[in-house]
Amino acid sequence: MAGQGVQAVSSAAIRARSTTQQRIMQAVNQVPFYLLVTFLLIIFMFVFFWMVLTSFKLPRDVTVYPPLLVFEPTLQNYQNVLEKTPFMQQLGNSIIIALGSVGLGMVLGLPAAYAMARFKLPGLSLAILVMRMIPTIVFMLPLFVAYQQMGLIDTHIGLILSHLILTLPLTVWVMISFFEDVPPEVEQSAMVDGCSRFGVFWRIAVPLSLPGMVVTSILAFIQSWNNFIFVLILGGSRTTTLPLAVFNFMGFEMLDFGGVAAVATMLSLPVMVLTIIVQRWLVQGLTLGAVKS
Amino acid sequence: MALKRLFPWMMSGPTIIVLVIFLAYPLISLLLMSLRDYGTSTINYTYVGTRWYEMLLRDQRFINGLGRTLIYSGGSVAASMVLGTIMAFVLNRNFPGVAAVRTMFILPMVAMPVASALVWGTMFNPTQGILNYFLEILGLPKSLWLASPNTALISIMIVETWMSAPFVMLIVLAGLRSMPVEPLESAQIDGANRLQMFLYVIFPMLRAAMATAALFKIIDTLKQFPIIWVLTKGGPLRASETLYVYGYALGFQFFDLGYGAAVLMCLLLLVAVISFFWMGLRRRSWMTE
Repeated sequence: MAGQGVQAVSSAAIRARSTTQQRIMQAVNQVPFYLLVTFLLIIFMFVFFWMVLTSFKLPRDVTVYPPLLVFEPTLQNYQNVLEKTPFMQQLGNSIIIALGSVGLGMVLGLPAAYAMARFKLPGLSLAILVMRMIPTIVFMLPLFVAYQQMGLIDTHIGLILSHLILTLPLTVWVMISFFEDVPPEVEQSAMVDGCSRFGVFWRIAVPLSLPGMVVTSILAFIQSWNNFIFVLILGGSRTTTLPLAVFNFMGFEMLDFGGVAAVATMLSLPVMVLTIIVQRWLVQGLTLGAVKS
Repeated sequence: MALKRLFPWMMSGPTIIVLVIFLAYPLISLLLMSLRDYGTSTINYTYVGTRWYEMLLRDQRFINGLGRTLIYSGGSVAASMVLGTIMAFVLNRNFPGVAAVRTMFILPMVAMPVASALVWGTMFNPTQGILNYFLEILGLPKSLWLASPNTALISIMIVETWMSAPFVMLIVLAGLRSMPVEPLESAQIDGANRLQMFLYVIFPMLRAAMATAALFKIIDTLKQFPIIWVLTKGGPLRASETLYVYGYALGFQFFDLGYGAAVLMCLLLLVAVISFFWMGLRRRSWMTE
């Protein structure tokens, strides 16, 4: 009897020990995983961390080696950029060109996207895909010559039109999948009630796809906002957008790392905020619907 | 009835006009330009037939550029695939803060390339840059990074990988999320270990997603310009000059329109070959759906 009791007790103890052991082992097993996450986060976020940190450094602290982590923060770099460079004007150019090309892309692309969602137009889809695939530089030589002859170099309208190469394919492809989500029954009953085909598009499909239009606009805006090659070739002093401005800034003030970091921070922030808003739809937008999320 | 059939074309009319002006016209025009000699003007030219294309075959700078383009795309896409797939598997697990980590992983992909490249450029600085400081801490020899012809291209490929891996991650993650669980469960019951599960169960199901990601990234890296131009302008000693950069330099720095057009036609051909391959894959996946 006593022997049995001891056995029972010891097996219970073993069982208890093994569950705590298991729990510890489970926690230990998680350690490499969290180390991996931390490692990846450091790799991917360090550039942004360094960018923001450098933007608050005084010129004398920027070039210190080994690099400083603790220093007296300053807003001088931001002040310099805002006061000594035409930053506000260039910001205006960036916004005008991005909004213009996104708006125009919407006006032109929405009806086409609707037609493609309802009637499948394989030739047109192919042409749009081709436009997305071709390296932009391929367009630039002919466009440069044509723009020169038509006096469109260094004009806002010229840049807005050229940015359609970025915004239109994206708008059409992303909107196709949003229009496909509009239930056909709703449209059919509207047509029975005497609504025209265009009326169905304008009064039913468009209002029902408003959230999709917001997402699409943001994705197209990021494309236009970030673009460098069009403004480098077709732009000029009147139409310099921020990517070109920051590039020129580096050329003139090669050693002003603080200033470069301040501009880079100001340019990256708006896009990051927009990204956080639309991240659920990013895959669809960036692959032109090749992968549906 | 006729009106009904016309409706899709009326709706897409404006888009078709844009495609004619900004797609068909530039392509035809570029082809014609590549057959002409412009001298120094942009208007007067003489027809030279395939002279530029014959010159390309003997142009060492073009052949080197083509080689670098392939190394750049192949290397950075391979690295992005490995890194992006690891990231996707990390995010496929549920852990506290997974949404925030996902957002942070995405940022390199959407941040302005010119701005990110500028910051990388300061980090690469051989005397004051933080990357050499890290190497020093780890007890490794310092590198010249962008300043040496031996390491310039690979340094830019590091930046490209940093920008491209998040895209691979998003696509592979979407593939993982849409994967059926039954094959995984039965493999577990059959006693497969983790490596076997990955190699024989998960990977075959992810293949389509990974192929899509790879081909998109190959095409995007063939088009890379801003980060190369910001970091090295193709130098030092042309060590990072890809076809895109060579075409840009010919067309817009030397204003050699005809020869520049011929180089760009070759870049276009490269992208076309890869795109057709991709569309073939895509059509197959449509058919199996």
